[in-house]
Parts: sequence; structure tokens; C-alpha cells
Amino acid sequence: MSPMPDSEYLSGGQSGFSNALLDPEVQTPPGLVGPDGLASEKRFSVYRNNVMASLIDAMGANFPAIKRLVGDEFFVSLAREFIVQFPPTQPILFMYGDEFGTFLENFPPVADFPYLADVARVEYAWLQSYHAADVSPLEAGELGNIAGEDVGRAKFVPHSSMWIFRSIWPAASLMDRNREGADCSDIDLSVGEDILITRPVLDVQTLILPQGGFEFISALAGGETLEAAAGIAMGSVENFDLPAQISGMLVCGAFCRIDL
Amino acid sequence: MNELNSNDRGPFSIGSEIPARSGAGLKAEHVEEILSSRADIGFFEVHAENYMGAGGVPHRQLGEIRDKYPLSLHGVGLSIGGEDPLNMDHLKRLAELNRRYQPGLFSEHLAWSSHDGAYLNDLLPVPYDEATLDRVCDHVDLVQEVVGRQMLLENPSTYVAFEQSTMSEIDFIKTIAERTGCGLLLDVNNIYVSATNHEFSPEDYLDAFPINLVGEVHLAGHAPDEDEAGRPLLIDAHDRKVADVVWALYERLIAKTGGLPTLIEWDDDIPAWPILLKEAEIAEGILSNFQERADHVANA
Ligand SMILES: [Fe+2]
Repeated sequence: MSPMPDSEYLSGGQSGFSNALLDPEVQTPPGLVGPDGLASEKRFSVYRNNVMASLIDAMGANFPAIKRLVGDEFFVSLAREFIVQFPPTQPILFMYGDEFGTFLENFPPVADFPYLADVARVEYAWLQSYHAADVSPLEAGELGNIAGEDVGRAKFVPHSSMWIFRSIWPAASLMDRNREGADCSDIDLSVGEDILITRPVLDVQTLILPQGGFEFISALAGGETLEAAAGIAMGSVENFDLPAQISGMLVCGAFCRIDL
Repeated sequence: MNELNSNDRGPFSIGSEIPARSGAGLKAEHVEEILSSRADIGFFEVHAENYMGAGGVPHRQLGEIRDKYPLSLHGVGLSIGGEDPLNMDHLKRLAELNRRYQPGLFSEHLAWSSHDGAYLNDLLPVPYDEATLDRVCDHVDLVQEVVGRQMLLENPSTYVAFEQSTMSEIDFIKTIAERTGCGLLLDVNNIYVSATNHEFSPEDYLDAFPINLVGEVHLAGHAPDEDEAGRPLLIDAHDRKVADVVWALYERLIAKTGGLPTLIEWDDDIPAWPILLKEAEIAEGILSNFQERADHVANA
């Protein structure tokens, strides 16, 4: 690797500035002075603090359940490490933290809390659902309007706010309880959850799907016909209750349109 | 639009101008109380980035506010002072918000916040030299072209000065406005914060500022600190009431300019709505005092 050319070094005002903001080990950039014309670590540190504190706040706003699960103090060090490794890539802060789940999975200090990663994924999906486009969900009656012989080949278009996820942990319960500030000592960590997030109007719903629901809704969201999706779901669980699953999926607003 | 909706609209429907009254930065937690109490306030200003999602509660709230009050749109993340080219996706989102809500005023900062793909979420300072001036002017030109309207550029709060600066902040800002045709947003708290931090007179700054180009005023609270030599270091914290010294500067400004749309910014440790409204009422009192005096002079 060739050394950095001098010109890049000399012209890199904002490179030097931004590197020093995120890494306290990096020296204060040259040429920044107080009223006496002298460099001032303390003055530069105002920017350092603003950047870090505001991004830690943003992470806390986006991941309130994680914050409660790990405690305020530990959350700060967790968020700080995440921010250094994955600084935001754009100015919309409610979209910040997409990689937090993966980060938590690989961050040794939380290795004993392997469910945190999925809770972070559910919180991030919740937030994206909260901000998703306003689209009318499919009404239950619309399936009834389709002629009997066409029902099997109906395809369902996912709603803009829907997200479906299989966790080996009770990630939705952990999120909901911690967001409510409720006790979660009775949650059985050995029970996984199939999670569906939707936002039919303004309120985001976090649903734990019944058996077969994950296979059924995933297949539909993946573009399978109703008949094919039902087949996949029936093959995956015994006693798949198709009518109940269809009405459940329609009521929760997971889809917005039927295509034939 | 159906008839019911259009009948529901208040006098300040979409696209209405911002009056020379006081306004407040809009916070989601205040919206219900504002609407139910029919708060008497001149306008609201929002941070554009909070409304860059596609839908949901934020747009529902903003739509309801916009139907009842004039609206000002304030970008905090465009990085106009950045060495990197402007983020075109972000600029297009700003243009889309302007199209959707047609705010009476649209403003951004003389600062940078993004570099090399990272967004740093702070308003970072720029050196006042020719190369930076050219770059900022190009960026302001591009913003006004893409958004299709005039923008106001806000004077910054700064904590360090650049050895490489070759001109004053005021000359720098004035030249940008002359070259690009942008207007200016004068943040009076920023004047006081920077004046304290760099040991210049805030009154001199105010008196030298091209006030004929100012389309809006900001007021906010600052937090006191000191540097390692024990000199005062003020932080532009937006977390408390406006300081008395800043109110005095504001009165000095309004005595020169007459009425201007004046916003109270309170973004951290956000108080209950009546406390924020009270700050706006203080500004409104100063505005109407000078208005009455002006009317008196005109009628005499
Ligand atoms: Fe401001």
C-alpha cells in the first residue's frame, strides 16, 4: 500500500476534523483556535461531545427496549461503540441503526445476551413501519368479491408497513414488555416467536403468529398464490387452519391488494 | 380534496406566508395540546429531517398543523458547508417536502454535517476563505435550483475559529447572499454564543449584519461552560429559556428591522407546551411594542 499523498493530507480539512470527532485518540486537528489564537482541546471537544451525545440519544430513541434491557449506563457504551463502527450514512436519524442487530450479535461484551440482536431487529422494523407510506390495507370483504374458481390463484401484495420475522427468541415479547416498562422475568427465553409487524393506519402492531402463519404469510409476501401458500403452510404444520389464517392475515393489515 | 376538508381549513392553509409574529419549533409531544387549545401563535417551524419518512403519525400531525398555522421548514442535515458534493438524494427529499407542504419559509445552515459518507449530526464550522466561499455559493445555488425557491441561510454558533480564515463571518455571509440571492436567517442566540466564544462584541456584529436580507430570526437558550483557560465557552444547547442578554440583543435588532418572523427553538429538555408558548409570547410582546411605536410615529 502506498502512503497517503501529501496533497490529500494537506487538503483534508474535513477528513481530519471528522476523524477526530469520532475517535478521541486522534489529535485535535491543527489550525483550530480560541480567541487567544491558541489551539484548544476543550473547544474542539464541544463538537466531539455534541456528535457523540446526539447520536447516543438517537440510538436510545430508536431502541428503547434495548436501552431498558441493558440499562442506561451500559447502553451508552454500547451505542458509543456502535456509532464508531457504524456512523450514520445519511441525515434521517429514524433510519439509523439498521446494523445494530448484527453488531450486537458480534459484540463480545453482550455474548451472554444472545436475544438482544433479534430484539434490536424487531425495534428497527417497528420504527420503519411507523414511518412507512400510508396505504389502505386490504379489507376482509375483497377476497369474497373474487369468483370462487379464481380464489386459488389470487396473489397478495404486501402492505408498505409489513415485516415478518422468525426469531429463536421471544423477541417481540421482550420488546413490548420493555417498551411498556413492564416486568419480563416470566418470559420463557426458550420459546421462539414468529413475528409480524403491520401498521394498518397509524398504530404499529406487533403480532406473534400462530403455527403455520409464518410460512403462510411469508409465502404470500414472496409472491406465491393463495393456493400455493396454503400448500406450503399445510406441509409445514399439522392442522393448519386455513380460514382462520386467512381472516387473521386480512384483519391485521399485512396486505394491501389482491392481484389476479 | 372534498368539500368537508376545505371547509375545515383555517385561514393559514397551504403555502401561506409567515407573518411578522413569533413562532415555535414544533415537537411531536406538543401537537395534541396545540390543536386542542387552538394555541394563538404566529407559525410553527419543523426540522425537515423528522418528516422524511413516507407516512404515518409525523405527516398526519404536520398536515393538521399546516392546516391551521403558517409553516416554516428548517433543514438541519444538508451539509451546505461540506467539502463533499451535496447529497442529491437528501436535497431531493427537501424539494419534495417543500412541494408537499409549501412552507412560507425554507432555511438551512452555514455548516457541514456529513463527510465521506458519514453523517455526524452536528452543525460543524467552516473556515471563512475564498475556496470555502466558492463551494458554499455553488451549494446554495444548487439548493435553490433543485428546490425551486429562495432559501434562508443561518449564521452559526461556533466554538473554534480557523487560522486559515481570511474574512469575517459577516463578509462571508453577505457575499454568499449577494452571489446566490439567498436570504438570511439571523439567529440572535448564535450571535451571542459566538461573540462570547470568540470575544467580539455581539452588538457590533448585529450592527454590521446585512439586516435588510434577514427573512427570519431565531432565539434559543444556551448553556454556560468554560475552556481550559477559564474563559467562558457558551454551548448552543437549545435546552432552556432564552437568556436576558439575548432578549436585549433581539430588542436592538427589532428596533432596526421592525417586525420579523421570530422562532423560539427548544430542542432538548423539551418543556411543557405552555412554557414554550410563554417564550414565544415574550418575543411577540417585543414585536408588538415596536409595532405600536412605529404606528405611533406613522400617525403622528
Ligand atoms: Fe437557529
